[in-house]
Amino acid sequence: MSLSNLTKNIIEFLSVFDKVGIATSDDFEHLPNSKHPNQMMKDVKSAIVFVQSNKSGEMGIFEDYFSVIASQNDVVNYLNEFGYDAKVIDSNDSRISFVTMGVKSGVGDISPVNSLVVKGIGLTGTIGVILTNAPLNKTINNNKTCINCMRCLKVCPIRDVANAKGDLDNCACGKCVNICPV
Amino acid sequence: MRKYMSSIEMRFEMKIEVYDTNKKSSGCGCSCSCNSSSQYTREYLIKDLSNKLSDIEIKTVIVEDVKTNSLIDNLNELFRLNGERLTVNENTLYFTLSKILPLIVVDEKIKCINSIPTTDELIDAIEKNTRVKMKASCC
Repeated sequence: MSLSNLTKNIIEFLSVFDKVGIATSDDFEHLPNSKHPNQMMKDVKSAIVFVQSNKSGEMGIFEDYFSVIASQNDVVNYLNEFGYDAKVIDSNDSRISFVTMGVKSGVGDISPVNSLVVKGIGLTGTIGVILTNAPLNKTINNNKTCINCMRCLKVCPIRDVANAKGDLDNCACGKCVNICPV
Repeated sequence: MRKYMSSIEMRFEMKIEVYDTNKKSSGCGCSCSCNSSSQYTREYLIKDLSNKLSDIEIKTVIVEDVKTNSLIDNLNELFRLNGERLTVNENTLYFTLSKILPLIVVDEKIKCINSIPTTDELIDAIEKNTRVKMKASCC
C-alpha cells in the first residue's frame, strides 16, 4: 500500500467529518517540548486532524455520534493492520494543542480568541486528533481562513487584545462560537 | 411523571444497566450548559428510578471491574443488537469508553450515552422508545 493510498483511505474513513487534514513531522519541528506530540507517541510522524460542525448546539443526532466514534476506530484499526501505531487523543488531554494541530494540518486558522476557525464552520467545530507513526502525506489546505472581523474578540469577556492568553478560569465558554461569520 | 408510570409499571421486570467508570472526568471546566457541566449523578438517578418505578432491576457495571475481553464482547454484542456499526477491540476500547460512558441500557436497548440523564428524560425515552438526546460538548 503506497502512502498516498493509505492517506486517501484514511481521509475516506473520516468522511463523516466536515474537514480532515494531516500534519506531518516537519510541522511539529518548532513546537516546544511541552506541546510536542512525541510526549504521547514515540516516533510520531503524522497527526490526523478532523473537525465536525456543531452549529445546532447539539452534537448532531444520536446515531451520528456512534458513526463518529466508529470512523475513528476504523482509522486506528486500519493503520494497525499495516503495522503502524495509532492513537486517538483525548480532547481533555492538554499535552498537545488541538488548535495548533488544526492549524498545522491546514484544517483551519487561528482566531483572535485562540480557537480554530474553519471555513464554513466558523468557530463551531469540535476538533479530534489521531497521532500515528505512519509517515502519511500532508494535505494541502488554505490556512488563511479568519477574516479578522474581530467579532469573536468583541464578545470575549477575558480578552481585549487579539490572541492574548486571557484568564481561562473566567472563560464564559461559547459567547464567541456562533458569532463567527466564516 | 404519573402518566408515564402507569404504562411502564405494566411492564414485567425492566432491566436497567448503567455502564460507568470510577475515574473522575475532568470535563472541560466551562460554565455553559454543555454535557461537561451536568451535576446529575449516577447514584441519584439510580435512587430516583428505584423510588419511582417498580418491577425494575438496576445493575451498575463499573468498567474497571470487568475483564477487558468480557467487556469488549459485551459492548460489541450491545452495539450489534442496537444496529450500530461501531465495534471495539483492545486498541480502541479506552477511546470508545471515554466517548460513551456513562452508558444506560434498558432491556438491551441503548437509551443514553455520554451523560447521566434526569429520571424524567430517561423515563420519557423508555416510554417513547427513543434515546435521550445528547447535550452538546462545547469545547
